[in-house]
Amino acid sequence: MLSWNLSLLLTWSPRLRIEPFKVAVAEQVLSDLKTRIRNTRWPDSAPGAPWSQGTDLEWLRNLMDYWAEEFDWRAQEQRLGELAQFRIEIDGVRIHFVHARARSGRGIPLILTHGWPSAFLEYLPLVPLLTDPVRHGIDGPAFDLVIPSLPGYGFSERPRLAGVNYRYVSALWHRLMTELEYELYGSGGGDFGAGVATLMALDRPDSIIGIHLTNLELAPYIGPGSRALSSAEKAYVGTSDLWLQSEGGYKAIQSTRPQTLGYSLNDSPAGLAAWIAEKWRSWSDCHGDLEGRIPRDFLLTLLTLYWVTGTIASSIRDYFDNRWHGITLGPEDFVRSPTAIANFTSQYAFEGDAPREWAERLYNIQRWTPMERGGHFAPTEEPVALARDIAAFFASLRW
Amino acid sequence: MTVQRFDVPYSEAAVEDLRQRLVRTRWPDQIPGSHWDYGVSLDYMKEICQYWKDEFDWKRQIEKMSAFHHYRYTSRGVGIHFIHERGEGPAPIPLILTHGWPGSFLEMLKVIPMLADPASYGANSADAFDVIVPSLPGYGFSDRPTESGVNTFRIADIWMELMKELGYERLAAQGGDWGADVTTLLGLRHPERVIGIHLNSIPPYKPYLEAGTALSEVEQAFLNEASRWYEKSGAYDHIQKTAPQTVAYGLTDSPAGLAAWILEKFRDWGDCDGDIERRFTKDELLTNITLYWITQTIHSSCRLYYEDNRAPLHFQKGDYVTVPCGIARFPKREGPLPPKRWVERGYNIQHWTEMSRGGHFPALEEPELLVEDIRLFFRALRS
Repeated sequence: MLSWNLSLLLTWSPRLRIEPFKVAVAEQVLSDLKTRIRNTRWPDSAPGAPWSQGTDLEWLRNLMDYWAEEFDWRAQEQRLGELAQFRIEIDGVRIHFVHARARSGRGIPLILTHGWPSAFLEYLPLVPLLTDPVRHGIDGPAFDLVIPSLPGYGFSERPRLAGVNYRYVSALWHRLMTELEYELYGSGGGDFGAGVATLMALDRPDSIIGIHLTNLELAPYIGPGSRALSSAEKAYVGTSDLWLQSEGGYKAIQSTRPQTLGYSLNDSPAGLAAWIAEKWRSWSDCHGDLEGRIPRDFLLTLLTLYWVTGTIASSIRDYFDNRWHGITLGPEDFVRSPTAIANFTSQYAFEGDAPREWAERLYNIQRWTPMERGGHFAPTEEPVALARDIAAFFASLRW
Repeated sequence: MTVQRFDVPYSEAAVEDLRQRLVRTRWPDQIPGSHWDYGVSLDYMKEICQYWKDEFDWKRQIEKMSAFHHYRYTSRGVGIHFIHERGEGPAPIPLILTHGWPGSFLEMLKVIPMLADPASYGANSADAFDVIVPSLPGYGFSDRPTESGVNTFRIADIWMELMKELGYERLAAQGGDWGADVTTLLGLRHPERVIGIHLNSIPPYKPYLEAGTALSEVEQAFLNEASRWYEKSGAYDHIQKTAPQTVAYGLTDSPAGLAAWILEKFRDWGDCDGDIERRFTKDELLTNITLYWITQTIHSSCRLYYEDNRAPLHFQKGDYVTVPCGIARFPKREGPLPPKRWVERGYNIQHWTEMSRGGHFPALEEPELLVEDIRLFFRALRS
């Protein structure tokens, strides 16, 4: 508790209001959730192999049964309560973040951003590893970690306006880091988080020590005037296109009619769980056995977070806003900040393996680590491998 | 007996359960002022769900449906619901009308009596039809298929069996949306038994093109426009053909979710300029939605997309609908309007009507226009 109070003192600022935050969900919300789960009206099962037409019925029924009857949210809440968490109000919108300082010495400030369908929870396994690397056998510097929730996810509010895209969030993050009195910092992430980190480096290179990405969210400019695609790049683009055709339905709907989808997902725990679990199974390195890779309690903590905060509809707006109110990368756009890519490509539904030259079109690649294991949710799937890579990368930078 | 009378069931408990779920609806937020930009408007959802909960009378709607003669036919273990109304006239010909998604047999209730008994509607009794309106497998009161492979080809085969069972060797066929696919296959695969087909929408078919066939500029422009449309508005198709089970959980468990999913299509595809109730009453919209809810068929209805994706309507060498085809092209549909040249590649077009108004659900939107066109087309084919 001492460190919690200390960080509060250190981060308090008269300019923007930063308040300590503790996860505490009302009992009524939890009991309503249980009632709804028990009252689920199930669809029939699809013919054919399990999972061939989407989330499997029997699997989901088991998960939901556990969610209602055995899952202990209060235990998860207590565990989360051990972390120093805050909400900062920026332009009338409250942004939630975890702030974990280096165990000793001056840590390298590093903001880590999750994506969809995920949450700040995905990054928590990195907290002990990167704030106290020595104790965990990791060779490298310690970090001051800032792990925010994206606007409209979990305990962060989403501005009630269109156009909350990577660039918008990257500007928010810069203000957050400035308020925390970090003038120079690193940025890392995957999925949307990789897009946000990229925009931070593009727009404010003077504040960025380096960026570390676990997957490539943004496609580089490949229009007129750019180098012709290599054969590896062509193969990658081809695989990605096929993946979009067979796996991209979620993206199509979320980027065109997120509100329509939101009604069912916000009203039905089973609907929400099916929608999110399908992605964790397809995108993690689980070989089809999700719970062999991602502990059930973690998955349900994530689902409960989406449910109790009622944020599935606001989270999927990211797809709409980045598509219709998004940014377009042109030939001039190049991330000059040192960039590391930890290439976690072992997704169960293989999305393609971007070759280094693809990434070099957009980034000043200083470190390129092909990872043998781990998929889209690297911080939860392979926290040690990721922490080592982050530590080694920032250790190599001068700042 | 493979054909049996069927009474439309009513369950007070199911209606009460629906009402309780509507009371407990947990609404998402919406960006203020965004209206329908991100999908179905929250204000409209709240309005129609309140009406659904407090005023909509499912029992009364069932009484209206029950004015028709309903039956079920069982084919290889799958029960098919249909309405069968005998024509009033000197020589009625059998006409099978097939609906699509997210519609149902309910779309046809206005046109059934007009087609069966034209004299009562100020038209000529010589134009009378025996009208057969089935529910697609997995839709409404038809059974949900429990095996893979119930695609439009299989459905067309079931339709032919059903018509034979009813004693109809020769028949006329009409449809839109999935109904247009099924009707096309009736004409394509059973020309000896089909007098002619009438379509109120062009299926997303692919004609057979010899290697090196040059498309006209108009056709190429249409295909380009169609893929642009798909990028912007085809997501429902994408998700329903790849992961229907995943989307089904929320739609089966949440009445508001189901209503939004279906309503969006009536607003987008109806000729309503964004004002859905200019074309459809709340009762019309909610009767169709309640049918999907009560029968728990949103999942099985969406599965037809999955099945179709594995057996799409792609014409092979030699495939050509030789029976006379009539097209009523209504100006509003789910995508760009296919040019006549594109349709002529696969169909023997004998009749082509450009309608001045109406959309994807013409039997509901413009019943008089649709009925008059059907009568006109088949009049020439009656022998």
